Amino acid sequence: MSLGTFGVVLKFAMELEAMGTAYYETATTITQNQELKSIFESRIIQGQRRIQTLMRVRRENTTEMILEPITGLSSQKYRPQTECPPGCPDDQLIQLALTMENQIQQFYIDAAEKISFLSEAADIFERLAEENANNKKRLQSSS
Amino acid sequence: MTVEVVKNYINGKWVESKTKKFRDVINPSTGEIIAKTPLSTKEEADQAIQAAKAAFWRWRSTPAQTRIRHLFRFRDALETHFEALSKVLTMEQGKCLDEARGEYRRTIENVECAASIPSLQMGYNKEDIAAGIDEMVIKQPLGVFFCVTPFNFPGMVPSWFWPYAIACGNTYIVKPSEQVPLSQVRQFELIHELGFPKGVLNMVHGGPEAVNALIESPDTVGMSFVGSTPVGKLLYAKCGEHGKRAQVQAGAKNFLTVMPDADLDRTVPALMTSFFGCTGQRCLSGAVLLAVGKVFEPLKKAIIKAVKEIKVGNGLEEGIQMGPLASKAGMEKTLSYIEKGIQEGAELLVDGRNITVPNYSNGYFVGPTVFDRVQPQMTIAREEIFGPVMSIIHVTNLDEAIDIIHANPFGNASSIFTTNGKTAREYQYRVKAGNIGINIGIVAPIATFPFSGMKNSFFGDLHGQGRDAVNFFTENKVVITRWF
Repeated sequence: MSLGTFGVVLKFAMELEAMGTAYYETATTITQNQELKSIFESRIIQGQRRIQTLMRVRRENTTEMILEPITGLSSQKYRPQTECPPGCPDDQLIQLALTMENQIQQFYIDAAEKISFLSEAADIFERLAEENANNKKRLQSSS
Repeated sequence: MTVEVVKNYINGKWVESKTKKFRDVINPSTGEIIAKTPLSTKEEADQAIQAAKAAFWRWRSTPAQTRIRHLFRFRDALETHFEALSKVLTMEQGKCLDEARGEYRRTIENVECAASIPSLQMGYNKEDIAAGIDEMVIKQPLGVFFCVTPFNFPGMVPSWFWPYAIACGNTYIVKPSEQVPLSQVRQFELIHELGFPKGVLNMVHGGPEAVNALIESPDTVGMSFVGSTPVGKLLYAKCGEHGKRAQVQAGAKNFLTVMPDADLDRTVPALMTSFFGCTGQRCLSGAVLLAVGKVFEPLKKAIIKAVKEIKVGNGLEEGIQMGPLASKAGMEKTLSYIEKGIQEGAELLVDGRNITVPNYSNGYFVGPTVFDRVQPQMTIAREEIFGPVMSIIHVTNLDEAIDIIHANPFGNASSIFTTNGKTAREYQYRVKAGNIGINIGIVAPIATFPFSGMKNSFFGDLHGQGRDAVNFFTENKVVITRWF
């Protein structure tokens, strides 16, 4: 799906965050590793906060002059695989999480460039991408 | 299903109108009736005037710092209910959600700007204008003001006026568009919950009878109007007759000029939002595109490609870029102008008639339409269409473009797209339009600047928003003092 307007970009970002949070909620119930569980739980809280941030960005940055169509951004590339089968081993949970964090990070990097005319929104996208990078580091260190 | 009959808000209470005349409020995407607006009587308008008059002295003597706290609370409520308000706006007006959100953003900006009245309303003074004598100017509120507002920005336009008016110490009556009253009703529900002092802010729905009562009353002092030029002119004259202040922001026919050196990759998206954003129903929408010299062919090609990518549909669906016209009458008017364009010999490059929007066969949709080979004397180049129609005129140079712009009676907005600073400055310097854009599609002034307009697009002296609003809602009292 083409992400052709600021509203659609933000809606997709929120969908990604919701998918990420849902994944971590399931993963938390599967893993028995306390350290990993705690990483997943903190990511759930982070995901909720990120959605609030995105809602604020949408409220505060949609102005008449920036309703110009956005081109060259499509959702397909970034939609992560978020199903984790029951009893999924930890290393696979981590691998799925890493792939997901990577895709979300890439989405924010690409989208920030596309909405660079909205400096505050672009800045927040970049910060969210940085958080994804940090999340990846944390996941990697636990594997 | 019962349809909501909207109520007036007078003296801090919701009041049912006693009128027998109503107007249907229709969701333009579906054709469904979603509410009914009472066409209030003269007596009901008078009740609102009397409530506002009675509230005036207590309110004007309330310190400005206290008055604006109501605005702060209202601003927070708008943030809290942002999405819900945006959806109501889309439902009654048709514009897509992003546009509705943009409208509410500007509404909030205006409330924020008005909240700086303790600074903006300050007068000025001078010591020793003569030996031992000082002089000062105090900016005082006047009394009961009202606004008559249009269907294209039902959430925002009243905010160009009333927050400033009441922050300055006046009391106020909002007369929303009878076609789209729900956005104001929802805002007044918040105002009611927040406990604004009774009578300070009132709302009366209706048509000419209510408007005439507001103008003719000896107890009102001024009117802000946004709407068409014929109605605006009429009301402006009527205000003059009755000794009222008036600011009348009227119709438009906006010309956008693209120079051969324009950056087309950036220009074309800006043109899309200008001509087709809000389905061409902004008073700042592009109407005529003046393509200068050799830019014509590549520009035309890029426009056709971009126009075909615009997604038309129910604005409530995220991703839709253009909603329906706000009314059946608006749709029919637009279609009749397209016919006229064909009859007068313009070439229809993109035809927006007979557009099919799946699941919304009763909606008032007209697709983006582009005419080429338009001549300045054609109807579609002269008259305000207020729909998604772009008329392209090929001109040889900037002088020819400016001559065409100046031959038109409107002067609301005009933009130039160029990478040459000298050309841009010349355009800004010479073009007689109230809002000039340099590489800007929609020249929408933020709340701290006046929403300007010239020629047949504005009647009055002081515009809406910013310092102009403060001057409109206050009068200068000069005090000269000497102490013995």
